[in-house]
Amino acid sequence: MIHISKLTFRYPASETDVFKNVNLDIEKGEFVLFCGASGIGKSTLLRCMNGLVPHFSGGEILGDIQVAGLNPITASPKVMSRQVGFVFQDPETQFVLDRVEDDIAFSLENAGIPPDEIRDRVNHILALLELSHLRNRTIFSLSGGERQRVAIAAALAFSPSILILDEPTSQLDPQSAEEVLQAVIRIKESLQLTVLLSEHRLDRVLPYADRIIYFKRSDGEVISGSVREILPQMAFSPPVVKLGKQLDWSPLPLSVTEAKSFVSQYHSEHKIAIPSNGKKKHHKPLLKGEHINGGYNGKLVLDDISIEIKAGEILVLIGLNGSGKTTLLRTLVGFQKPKSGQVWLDGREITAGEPAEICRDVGYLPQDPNSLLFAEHVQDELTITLQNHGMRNTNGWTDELMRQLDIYELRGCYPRDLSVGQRQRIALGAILVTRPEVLLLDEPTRGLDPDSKTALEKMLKEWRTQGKAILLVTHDVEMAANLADRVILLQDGRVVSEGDPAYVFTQSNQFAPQMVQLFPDTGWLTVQQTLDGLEKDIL
Amino acid sequence: MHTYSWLVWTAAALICISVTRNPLYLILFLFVLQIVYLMIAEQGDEAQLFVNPIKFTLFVVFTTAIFNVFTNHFGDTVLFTIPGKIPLLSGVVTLEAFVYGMTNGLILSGMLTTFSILNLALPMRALVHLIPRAFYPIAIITSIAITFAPETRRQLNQVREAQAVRGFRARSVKDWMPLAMPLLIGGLERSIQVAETMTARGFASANDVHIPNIYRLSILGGLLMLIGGWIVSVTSSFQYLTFGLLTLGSVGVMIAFWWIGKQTPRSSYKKERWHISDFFIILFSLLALLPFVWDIPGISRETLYYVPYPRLSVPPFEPITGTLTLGLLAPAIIFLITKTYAKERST
Amino acid sequence: MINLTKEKLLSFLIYLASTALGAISFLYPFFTPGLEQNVPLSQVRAGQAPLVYSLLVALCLLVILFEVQSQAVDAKLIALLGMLVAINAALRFIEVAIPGPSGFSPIFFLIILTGYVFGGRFGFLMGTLTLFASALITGGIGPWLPSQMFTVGWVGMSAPLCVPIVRLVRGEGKFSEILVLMVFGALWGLLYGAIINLWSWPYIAGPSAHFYQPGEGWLEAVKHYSIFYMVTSFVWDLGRSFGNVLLILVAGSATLRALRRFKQRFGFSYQPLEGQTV
Repeated sequence: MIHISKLTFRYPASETDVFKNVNLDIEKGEFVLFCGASGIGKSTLLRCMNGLVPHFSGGEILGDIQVAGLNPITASPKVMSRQVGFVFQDPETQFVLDRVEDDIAFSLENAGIPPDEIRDRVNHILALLELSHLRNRTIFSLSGGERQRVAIAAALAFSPSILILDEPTSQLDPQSAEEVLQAVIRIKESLQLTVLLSEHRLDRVLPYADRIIYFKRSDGEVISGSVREILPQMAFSPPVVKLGKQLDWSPLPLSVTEAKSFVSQYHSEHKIAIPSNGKKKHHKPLLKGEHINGGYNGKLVLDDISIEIKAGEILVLIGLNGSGKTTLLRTLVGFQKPKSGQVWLDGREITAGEPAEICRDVGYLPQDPNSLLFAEHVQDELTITLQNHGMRNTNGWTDELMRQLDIYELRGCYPRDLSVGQRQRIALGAILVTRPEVLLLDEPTRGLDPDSKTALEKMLKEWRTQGKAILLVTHDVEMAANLADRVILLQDGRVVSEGDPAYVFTQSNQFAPQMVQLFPDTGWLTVQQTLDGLEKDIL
Repeated sequence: MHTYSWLVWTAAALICISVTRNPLYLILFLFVLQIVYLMIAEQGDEAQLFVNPIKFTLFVVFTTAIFNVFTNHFGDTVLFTIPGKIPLLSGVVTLEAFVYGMTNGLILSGMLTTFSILNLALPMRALVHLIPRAFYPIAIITSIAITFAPETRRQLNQVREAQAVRGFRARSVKDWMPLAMPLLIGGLERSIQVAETMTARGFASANDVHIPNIYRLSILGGLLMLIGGWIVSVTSSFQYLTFGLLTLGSVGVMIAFWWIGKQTPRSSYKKERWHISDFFIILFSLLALLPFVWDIPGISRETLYYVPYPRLSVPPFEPITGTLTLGLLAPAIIFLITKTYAKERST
Repeated sequence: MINLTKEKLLSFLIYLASTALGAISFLYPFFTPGLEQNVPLSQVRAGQAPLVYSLLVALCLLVILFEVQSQAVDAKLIALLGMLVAINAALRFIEVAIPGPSGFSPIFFLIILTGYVFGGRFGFLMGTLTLFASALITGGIGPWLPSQMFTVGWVGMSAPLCVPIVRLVRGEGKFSEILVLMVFGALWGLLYGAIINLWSWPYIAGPSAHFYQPGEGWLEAVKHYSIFYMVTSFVWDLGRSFGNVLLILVAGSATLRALRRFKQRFGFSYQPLEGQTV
């Protein structure tokens, strides 16, 4: 179906090739995963398949490429759109019209297809993606997962034979991601599609993939093979896979379900009674919220919540969408006034405070750090915050902070040209420059590739050692497993569970790291802990 | 109700209002329009600005009356005199001028109310669908703008909060920069994503369509005729020549658009359906229009033309014309019927 | 090759004719000869004139829009225009929110700057569609719309006139560029008001101004109009001018930089870039 031979591409005004001499063959009906660090060329290669590269992007391209019998380079994206449906990353900008069925019909209208046929196709696709009940809604009223499903529906309007998805779930929370990926798997079967999917969150799709195409770092090399062949060679893989690799489990388990059969080997009586509030380190609570009741539009979102964020500790807040996590953060910082309750910062009440004031001492990283950045140069982003607070840049503090965040070399660059991970670090710089002792991070892992996530984890651990009080709101349970000193589980605006990570994770079905799912009642959260624990057990 | 029937109704109302200067008819119109407005306003879009129609009308009428009274000094019934040589203001202030100005106000508020009703009755998307096919890139641009404009306001809030997080407070005009720039840059970046999505969905550029010169010539010819018609109308009183030139010119231009529209292979997903109520609305609108534009034997057309100068008199009134005017109430009545019918069905 | 020149000539003529027609449609109050009183036909014509000429302006607008769009459209431009119009239309809400009487309108800022950076046709579309989109959203369709759209379109269409001036003072990227744009914004602030007023004058004043002075020439009408203008809208228009100047002064250079950077990065030629294949 897809044959690529010696494909080389370079962006306009660039001196290096994005990829060189790539050879690839994909058969009809395959489900292929594209993996590798961000910015390495996966997206570019995918866009070659429907002609967006080079028609939309410009640049120089060499080599041969055949997709569904057409050559995307000579044919245009217009022609390719009949054979290839493309789904992009951002659920906010993938539509043209605001009503669901209008947007799906848009491409069909453009092609001059008779209205009756349009109606049939739209109905068919809506049913396929379980969107029929949403057909009259505006896209802005939908959740991220629903929006991406609409994007998939629109991509399928012409009944293409190939569906390409470029990181479709990176901006979504786990529920929505699950929704979308399940939908993809389902329609692949019913429509007999060839699916190319680029993803970081492999754990959900690994069992369904036929092949992985892996972009090795730096040398632009691309390797391809079956899932179990390639996985061991990849730098990042789900914890279950890492564990299996270490323990030489064969065939390599791809999911928790597959791994369970191996676990029975390890008759572990290593059951520890997990106390609800483990080793309680005595730290000073820096930011406190007491009996907070809050909401808006007549809805009670926060129901009698009390929370303490202590110095030298990372507190992780988990919960489903709509459980009140972001509202809680915003209340703590002053963007929303609670109906009742108080917020204390280091002994001072700040319940009625102004966010601009509070944020000098409480660093708050919002979900979309893009809205923070507008300066011409990276270093200006830091100095502007200082200016806003009327503080001065003494002794090269901004330079030092930039070095800590690994953005010093980028200090003269235009922030919005940089990658997601880099922009996040710049945003962190902008809020850390006032040396706050408390840090609140709202979903910092959104859109981050594994490399950037590791870097972020490292930084958070570093700041914890420095004595900062850190509150981390995240969906990424594996990251939470790596970092958390304490975990709070929020549901419907109430604290449902609080305390030691092992305890909280074991309690909850939806938020258990893979190690907890495999070895419940052991208290092991990470691969390393499991390996250590098993070693102790065996000896 | 179908978009086209609303358009017919609007056209009828506008023509009627602009033809007559008889305050009695105009007041009747306003009465009719207010009723239609109040009926329609119940189902209007919340996003639209809502102004109390009666207060608004009174305001307009009064203001234009005052304006005319102080700028035009004719008439026999003098109220008082402004002394001196102030340009424009000095002179006699007469009752006739007041009535004349009031008439201007009645016409103006009549037109404005008609448009308000149109705005309320037609949803945004229906108006976008009216855009002729020859202009489909503009239709798409407008659609995108309407889709993303509400988002822009939400983005502004997001940006405002993000900047507050780094200690920023908007204190003066200069401080709008950190809010406006991320908004603009964000918008620019998002537009590329939308463009990519459109391209991936097979959106074709308009460069594909080549327009033969003959249609450009038709447009040019039409324009020249229109210019000619304008010249004729202001330099002489050959009404039919003017009318003819204007009509021919417009037709010339429209035909070109129609043909070009046919060239672009686009279809329309949403097709409006005609109901029996549309028939009634169009019928009654045309009936209302009839005495105003046609010389019907037995109905005096003279009553349409009333001038308060030089001496104020009671304006004439032709009952048949007045009755036919009530035909413009058709939308309100249809609406009332559907509402009561719906209520009955739900109980 | 020959066909292309004929086409370009026709386009040019069409621009000329439609602008001329649009302009004179505004100016008709000065030309209607003094008509006799009590002649019903004249009264009818005088009463209908504003509407008819509104329609004429609408037609001219359509023609120009047609010419503008047919030569400069692809997915990138459509999406860019769509987004910018969305932002500008949303900005228009500020107009309503500002307390006190003033003609201040934030929409001219982007219209002038985008016309300056991306070209006259872009500027025309930006201006026209900002008004159209915001009229749709706020339910503000009315007889004033075609004239407003026509005039604002010309604000954007004429913005590239600043380019040779800026080149003359060698001001690219410097403050003198902003200065030129400020002057441009100030001029249009006043001019726009005068033109729009011209349109609304007959509606408010009725046909009386030249109706009851039989034999009044156009000079008298001009005098009448200037007085009308001074009384009603001069102050308003000063507010608008001042607002334009202020916005361009404060936000002009940063916005220009953002627009130019964007233009360079995404290759806004009117043709999609082709790759080279071996």
